[in-house]
Amino acid sequence: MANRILVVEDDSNIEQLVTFKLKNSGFEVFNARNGKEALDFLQKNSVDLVVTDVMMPVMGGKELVMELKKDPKTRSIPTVMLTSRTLEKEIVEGFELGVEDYIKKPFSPQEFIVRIKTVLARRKT
Amino acid sequence: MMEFMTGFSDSILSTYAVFIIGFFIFVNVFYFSMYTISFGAILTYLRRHMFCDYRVIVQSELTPAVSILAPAYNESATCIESVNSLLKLNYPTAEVVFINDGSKDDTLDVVIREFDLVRTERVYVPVIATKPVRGIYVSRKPEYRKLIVVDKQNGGKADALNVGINVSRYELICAIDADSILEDDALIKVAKPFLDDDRVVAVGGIVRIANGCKIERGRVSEVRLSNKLVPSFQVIEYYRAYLSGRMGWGAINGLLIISGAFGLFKRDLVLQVGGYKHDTVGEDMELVVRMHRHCLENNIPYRVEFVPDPVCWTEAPETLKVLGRQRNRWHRGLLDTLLIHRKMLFNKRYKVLGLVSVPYFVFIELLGPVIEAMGYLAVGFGYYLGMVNLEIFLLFFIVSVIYGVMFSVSSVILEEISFHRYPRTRDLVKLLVLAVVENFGYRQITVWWRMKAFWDYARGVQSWGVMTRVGFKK
Amino acid sequence: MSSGGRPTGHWRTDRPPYRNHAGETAIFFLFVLVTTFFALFLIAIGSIGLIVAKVRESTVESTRGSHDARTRQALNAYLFSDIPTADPAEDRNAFITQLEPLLIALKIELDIDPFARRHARRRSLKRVMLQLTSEVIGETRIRLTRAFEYFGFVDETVRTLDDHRWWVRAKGCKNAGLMLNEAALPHLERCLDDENDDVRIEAAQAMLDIAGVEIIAPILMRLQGMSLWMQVRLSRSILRYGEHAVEPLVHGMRSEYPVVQGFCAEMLGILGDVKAVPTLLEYIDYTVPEVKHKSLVALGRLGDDRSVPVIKRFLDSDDERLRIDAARAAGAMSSPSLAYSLHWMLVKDTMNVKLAAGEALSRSGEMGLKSLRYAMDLGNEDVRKVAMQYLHEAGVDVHAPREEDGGLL
Repeated sequence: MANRILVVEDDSNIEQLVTFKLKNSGFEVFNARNGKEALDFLQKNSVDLVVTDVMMPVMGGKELVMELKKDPKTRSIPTVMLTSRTLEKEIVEGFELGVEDYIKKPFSPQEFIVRIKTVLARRKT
Repeated sequence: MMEFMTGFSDSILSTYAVFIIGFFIFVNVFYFSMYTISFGAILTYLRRHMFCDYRVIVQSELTPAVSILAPAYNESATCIESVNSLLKLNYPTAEVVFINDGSKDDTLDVVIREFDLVRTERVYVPVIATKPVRGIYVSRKPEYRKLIVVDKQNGGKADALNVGINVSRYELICAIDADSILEDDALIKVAKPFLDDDRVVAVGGIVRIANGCKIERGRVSEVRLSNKLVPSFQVIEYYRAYLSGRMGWGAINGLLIISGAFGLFKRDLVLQVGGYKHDTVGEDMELVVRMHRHCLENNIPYRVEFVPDPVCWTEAPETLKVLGRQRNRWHRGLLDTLLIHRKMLFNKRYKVLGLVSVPYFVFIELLGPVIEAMGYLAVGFGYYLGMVNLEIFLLFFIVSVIYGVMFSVSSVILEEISFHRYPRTRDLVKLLVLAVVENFGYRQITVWWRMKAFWDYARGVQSWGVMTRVGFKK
Repeated sequence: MSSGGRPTGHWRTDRPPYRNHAGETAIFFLFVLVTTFFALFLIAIGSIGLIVAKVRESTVESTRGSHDARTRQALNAYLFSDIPTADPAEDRNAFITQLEPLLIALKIELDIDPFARRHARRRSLKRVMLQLTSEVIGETRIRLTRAFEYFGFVDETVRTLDDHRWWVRAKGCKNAGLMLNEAALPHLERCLDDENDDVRIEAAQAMLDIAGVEIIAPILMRLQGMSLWMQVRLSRSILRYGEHAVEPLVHGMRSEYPVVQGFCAEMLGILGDVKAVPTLLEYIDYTVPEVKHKSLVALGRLGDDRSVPVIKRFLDSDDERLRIDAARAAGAMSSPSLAYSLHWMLVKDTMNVKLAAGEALSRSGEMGLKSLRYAMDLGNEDVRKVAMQYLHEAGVDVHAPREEDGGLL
């Protein structure tokens, strides 16, 4: 069964790019425009991984991860953050929240896929 | 005899009518050109804005450091929130100097407790003479290392700001009102002109009215127009003053007022001119005028700029009574500053300032209400004597209202096409309607307040005189 | 804030004994009419313009959105399809040759549209590709660069560099930088002399993006001045090169413009590579105070012993500001030979220098603390205060009772 991935991103460029690349690599991909939509989606569906942007309207990536970690149902879903913020502080904060991996924009789509696969493989073992 | 009387007053009144009409034409031509200049300046600003990534400024070590001065007097209820929001501003190197101006309540204790402050042995160097400083405190917690708290004897806002200037260590100083809310990026945007041009000595930012907006955790989270009438009228007034007024003045380097609620200055120059003057009600305007004067008199090339985009939100008075007091104070400040610097009026040496800015402020801002009020009186008097032709009077009234509406509506339009801060369409419609309505009643009230300011100013000077005389007798 | 003169009266014209007002009344009426129409006209134009602009903006936005969505799909097929040689680092030319069929496919996809829409699609392609440049790196980025060239966007952009509107030129420079095509370099170099600061900055930035570290020195030698904004912008790219940027910056110290020299000195300090010390020392005596100031700050940051004699010399400078800078730099050196001069400055110099010297002493180790202690006990009021401040900041309890001969030291 293909791994299910939820992509939370408000910028349609990156959203389409990431979605395309993930689909190409054989994942099943779902989309949400912000943290709220993602939470609503996760109420009803389960996924194997969440890729989220940090800066989004309505509800940002950090808040989303915090909410995910609060709920026992979603706590175990690994999250990968996609961010243009390269400040060290931000990254440390993200990892402290329980984010699995951090991908800085601009990113290499090839590397992105490899990282996603690594996170999923780590989760399986 | 009766005929002589009417003839005499008729000739006075008709001279006055010609004067009023001339003044009216002059004022409106002036406003129109100012508006055109502002429009061009905003366009240029927006274009430059496209090439400015503010994140670069935030991450750079080269960005000039800023000391934010926050004077407080009896603000124990709000001081923690305002200090916290200042500490969180986006800026690479900034310190927050909180000055407790001898508050009678427990402002200092509250701050000491909240931020875990300890007294330091820091030397206070009174470059500008001030009331004595009782102590300088810093926090033991590393997350508050940007905070410096100064406790001083009470001496008023100007004195508190001067202490702040003495204590501050960085090359730019930012004076803000304790009760105003800065947007996260406000400081960067207002610092940008200092980066563009090293002649810039002071920059003013736009001040907007927070009434009606949703405020969460010391931030404006949703911009809305107030439901009340008085603050909404002020929104339009602020638009006119800032977007089509100060923007244009900034473009021709003749900006005389930088709001005390939000301005950024070169510390060196402020020290050179001696800081804020503490015996005037309009210390913010007075400082800017003095800086202009200093640079012009010493042939220092300089610029005073206005940035229409960094946003400082302020709570506007909601009742006519409080608003009246505020306007009265502003007008007295204006009068006082212009009297102090009366030498500049029509003085070629002061270039744009002496020939355009100062005359504008004297004749239109300062004396405008007087001329306007005398117009009302003349109409009443003339009507009483049966000399005023009602139709003509009405026509003139309509023209002047239409002009007033035009400038207000243009300001609203200018804001709408440039910054578009009110997302709800009904707020925009409401603003347009109010731009018409304010001409009937509201404007006349503001004229009255400003008229009264002259009287209060004169009385103020007198009572001060009496006081000294008493002191002299002793 | 008010628009000045409010209503006033006019006077009845049927008073023969005094004056006939008929002419004036006519003029007045004319005035009223003209101004009213004028004002109403402006209000109407303004409001209508506002509404039209809003409506147009929303329609343009929606057609743009639909174009962009289609463009993105076609583009993704080009950008992410696997090709045999996937590593451009090995053989870039082979890689690019392999892209050709994919590009042709993309072009055909665009050409299906009727002529009028093809223009919009082309613009959309450019827009989407430009947006993507800031999101992706690696192999995908090379594909983008190739596509810009293939579709003729590079030539199109270079042509805009001669536009008479500065913002068009600036935008052109910016886009040329994003397209990463070396063919644009000579045109960008011309823009370094542009009359507009934003154009100059975008041009320099674009050149750095395209040509990398090698172009730093030529740009620096070419510039005739730098606004602080330009320094901020360029520093970001230059610092990213780390130690590779040291040599070009050392070269840049040779610029005849003090601003550029100062910028180089500052950057060298931030980079923290002691290779820069000899150059900084070499230039410090032959330049304007502003550059001296920046060089001293840089030397302080670099903290190399070779600069001790020069700093010591500047501690005696006539310029108060340079003495302060030298004192600060001396503090970073923690050299005992400087401590003596610093102590002397703390005792004798102006208040501002005292403060700098005090701070420097507090950072100069045992020797400095001892000197501060001494000053606190024996100096005058000001000296004592300064010494106390910095002892306190160095973590010494200045109010604690002491054993004879200082248990502290």
